Order: sequence, then C-alpha cells, then structure tokens
Amino acid sequence: MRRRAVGIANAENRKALDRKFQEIGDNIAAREIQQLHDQLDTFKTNLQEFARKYRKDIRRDPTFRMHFQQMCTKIGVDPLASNKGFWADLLGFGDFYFELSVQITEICIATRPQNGGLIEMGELKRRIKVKRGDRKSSQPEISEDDIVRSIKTLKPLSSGFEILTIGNRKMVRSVPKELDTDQSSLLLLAQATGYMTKGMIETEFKWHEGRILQALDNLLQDGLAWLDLSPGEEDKYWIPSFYDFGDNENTV
Amino acid sequence: MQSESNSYKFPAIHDFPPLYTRQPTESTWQNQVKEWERIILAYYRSQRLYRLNLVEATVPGASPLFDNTKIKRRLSLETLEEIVNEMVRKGLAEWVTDSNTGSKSAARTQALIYWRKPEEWSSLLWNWINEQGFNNSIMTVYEIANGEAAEGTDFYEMDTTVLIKALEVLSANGNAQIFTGTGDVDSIGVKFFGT
Repeated sequence: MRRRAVGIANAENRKALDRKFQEIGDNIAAREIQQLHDQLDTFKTNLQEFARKYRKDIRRDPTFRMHFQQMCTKIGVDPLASNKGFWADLLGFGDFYFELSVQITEICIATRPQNGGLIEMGELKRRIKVKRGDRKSSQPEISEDDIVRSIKTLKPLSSGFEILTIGNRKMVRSVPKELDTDQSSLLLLAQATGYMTKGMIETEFKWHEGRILQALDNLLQDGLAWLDLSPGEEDKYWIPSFYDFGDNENTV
Repeated sequence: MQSESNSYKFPAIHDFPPLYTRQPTESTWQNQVKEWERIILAYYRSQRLYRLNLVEATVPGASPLFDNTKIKRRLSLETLEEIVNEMVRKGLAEWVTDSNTGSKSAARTQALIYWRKPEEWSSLLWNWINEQGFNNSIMTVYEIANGEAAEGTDFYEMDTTVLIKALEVLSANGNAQIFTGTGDVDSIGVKFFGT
C-alpha cells in the first residue's frame, strides 16, 4: 500500500480537491433532479393524455379502471382525492364514486334490519346492480374494487363503514359498533353452513357454556343472528348475511 | 292471474328457517313481521284470497304459506296471531267480527287480508260503475261480484264482506246507497248515483 502524503501543501491540495468534487457532485445532482422533474412532467402529461384518450374505457371497464387506479396510486396521484380536482374534471370520477357511495349507503341502511348491518360483498354488488339496472346500458359496470374505493371515500365522514374479511368472504359493516373477537370467531364458524349451534361452537372452540351463551346472545342482540327453534333439532343461530336471498328484493 | 298454489313461487326468504321462529330481539322481530306481511299479501293477491282462518292455516300441511315442508318449518298459531295483530294495526288486515255476537272482543280466529284496502276497492268499483254506465241503477251484491259484467275484473268472485266494506266507503262518500235486504248478504242491494 502507498504511504499517505503528509504536509501542509498536501492538506491544502486535498481541500481544494474536495471542493472540486463537491462542486461536480452538486452539478450532477442538480442535473439529475432537473432530469427527474422533466421526466415526471413528461410522465404526468402522458398520463393525462392517456386518461383523456381512454376516458371512456376507464369509465366503462372495471378491470381497466382498477389498473389505472393502481398505476396512479403508485406514482402518488389520487384521482379520487377531490371532486373538484383536475382528475375529477377530466374523468368525471368524483361524481362516479360519489354516486356509488350514496348507493352503497342506501343499500346498507335498507338491509340493516335484516342483516344487522353486515352485508356480504357479493350481495352488495348484486343489489347495486339492481339499483342501477333500470338505467341505460351505458352505465359503467361496478367492480369490487370500485366498491372498496367508494367506501374509502366515505371515511372522512366518520360513517363507520368498513370492510371486514371473514374467512374467504369480504363483508361490509355499516354499523360503527365493532365486532368483538368472540363474535368474529362465530361468524367465521358459521360461514360455511350459514348457521351455528352450541354444539358446533363447543367442538370448535372448547368454550365454556357461559361464554358460548354470551357470544350468541350478543349476536342476536346486534341483529347479526336469527334464532331458529325446531322441535327435535338443536337450536340454530343463522347469520342472514351469509344466506342467499336470491333475486328477492326485500328492500322496504 | 292464473297461477295455482302448487306453482306459486315464494320469495327466497320464505325458505329461511329462522323466519318460523319468533325472534327474541325486538328490532329483528319488527323486520320479521314486515317480511311476513309482504309474503302473506303477495300470496293472497296472487291466489285471490281474502280470509285467513288462523287456526286452520297453521295446522300441519294446511297451507304452503305457513307450513314449509321443504325446510320442515311451520309458523305457530301464536306467532301468526302476533303478526296479524301488527297487520291490523297497520291497516293491512282486519279481524272478522263475530256475526252472532257482533262483538269485537270475540276470539281472534279470522281476519280479512287487505292486499287492497276497502278504499282502494271502492275506487276500483266506482271507476267500473262509471265505465259500464251502471249509474242510477240498483244491483245486488251478488250481481256485482258474480255477474257477467264483472267477469275478468279484479273483484270477480271477491269476498262479500270485503265487497260490502268497499260499498260502505262509496256510500259514505255519497256515491251509493245501500239497501239492506231481509235475507242473506248476497241479496243486499246497492244504488249507484251519477257522477
């Protein structure tokens, strides 16, 4: 290894050299930042052009819309952020999600007496479709992603709407009351059959009877479960949110 | 409507087993009552039924409306009575007064189911009278519900008690006058006035 140079002259030299390096470095950084800015601008312009060009597809095709949304989110642009923003104006998105969130709210409230404020995603989607069905066929199709986004736009209103995952089902909870862990466990248990019995709960969780009764009573109280007594059968507790009511319109 | 009872398709909730158990939670019960109201009214409308005998209807196998053999669930007489009480409170049904005693407190065994209320029947009748030009003529209750002119109308072969209630509405409005005969209800006469 070469011995390091010593002495005052050398030190001065090194300082000057450091300064030069610093200057060059600053230059490069500034250029890079400028370049990045330019690139971002170009990208933004392209994105806008893209959005303008495919406006129709974005509005019509739910898969396309989802991909576009994901792309925007990745680069920190949120087309939903404001109803008045550039993106909303360009795409008419604000109105789209606003309208959808109103429909979601209406359905959740209308079905609350029946399901206790817990609705399955598929059922919600089906009801939205029915609600929008009487309009022209030019209406955009609604995807699960759209529903999730719409519910997120409701958040600032402290609506208490949230999306729960129970087993392999997505559920929309429209009552601000949280499910306790026992309730959640029971919902998960009832998912497959649509109902549960004390025996099923005992076998699955090994809870003592008091706990089982309390948890079931909570579900009944919250309107999340309906009691089914039939002579010769074990009492069943049905979860209407899991029951397929078909095309039957129960909305009051 | 031509549908027969065995081809009638109940809404999906009719197969939801807990619908046949009186729900202990008040808000759920209120909703259960509403579901039953809708089911009963739709069924009665499609089958052109007017009267509900609670005891007879809840006997096993008596009616596909309350005995769902597919899921082995049957509505109890007690629960049905509560439901009909609610319907009466909302004007969707009326307890049949015991004709012998005339007492409203008589056992609540039979109810008229109003898939159309007497007021609605009366305006339907009144339109028909005017269309047919029956103004200023006298008709018997039997003629109105079973005469040739009534064929194909909604009130063809309708329940006499409900028909008379509708005629009473017309009478109260000054559009008709009822002449109570001496014999049975079918011979009650009605004079319709002009428009």
